Amino acid sequence: MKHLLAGSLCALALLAITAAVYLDLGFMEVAADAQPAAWEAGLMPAAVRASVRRRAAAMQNPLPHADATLVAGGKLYMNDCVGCHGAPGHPSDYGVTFFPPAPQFAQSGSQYSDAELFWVAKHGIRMSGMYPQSPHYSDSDLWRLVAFIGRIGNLPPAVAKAIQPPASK
Amino acid sequence: MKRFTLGFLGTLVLLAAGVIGCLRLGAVEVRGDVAAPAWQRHLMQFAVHASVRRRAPQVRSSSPPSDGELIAGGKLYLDGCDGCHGRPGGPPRKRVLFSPPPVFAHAASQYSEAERFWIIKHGIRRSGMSAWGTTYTDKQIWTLAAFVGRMQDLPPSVLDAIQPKQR
Repeated sequence: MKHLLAGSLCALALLAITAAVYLDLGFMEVAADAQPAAWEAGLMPAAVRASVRRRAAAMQNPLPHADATLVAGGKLYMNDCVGCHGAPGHPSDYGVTFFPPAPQFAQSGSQYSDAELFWVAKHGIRMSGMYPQSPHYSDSDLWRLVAFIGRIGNLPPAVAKAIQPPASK
Repeated sequence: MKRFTLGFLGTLVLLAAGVIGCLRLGAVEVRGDVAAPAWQRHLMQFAVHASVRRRAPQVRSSSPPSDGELIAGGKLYLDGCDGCHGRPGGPPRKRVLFSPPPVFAHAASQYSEAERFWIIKHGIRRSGMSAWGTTYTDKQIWTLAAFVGRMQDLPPSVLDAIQPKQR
């Protein structure tokens, strides 16, 4: 038993020392334009997804499914989100220079449900370029944005037209 | 000895399983509007600084930047950096980022000029700092690095020259 414990403590001490040396000598990769290692790419995005799924309350978008909702959301989106997340048909070159890169909704949609998107927009994502939007938008505006993002790859032509021209920044 | 090895390896396996389990179950805090514990902030700032020091070129610009270079850097700065890092003499825009971006008009950069060059070019992982190496040339990035270093005591003529760019 004593030996078991000693082995365990040695493992812990060795790990702590290795971690300290690794960080102190600057071995941690910090360049945003370097590709992540395979284990990191496999583990970290999944961890963020799992955390969002766990925390976001199950809610329905309270706004009516109407073109007016999409247009209102689209105008907000084209004003403030488009710089990083891209416009319909125009992915953002800027968004992909972040690590992790900003998802390009018009191309790949979102992996999150409406309620999860709402939660992400409201609270932001730690250790990413996604900052919390709650100081800037009311909950209703966030739901408008969520409704728009959910349909961004498949917008009714009237909506696509109504939100043009984008207020480009 | 067998027991020792068992304890050693068992601990490593348990730890790895625990970490992966926590990640998979979504136990990690991801909200950007909740402050991280102080130890985490300090440890990460320290590790990032160490990594930048290790990777950044050791070169230093041989002479202090000319006013022309400062003006060129200042114009770029007001075009793409001021939104998060604030204007010379002014407050930053009210954006809450999880790792608060340094506001150079109030606190000098903790990095050398060469390190700033490296950060602007490559960005910082897991922060709001994107990589600008595909947007700007190296020469432009050097003027930015120089400008940021002088932001707290810009020559009045430089301040004047970059002001009309204000939106």
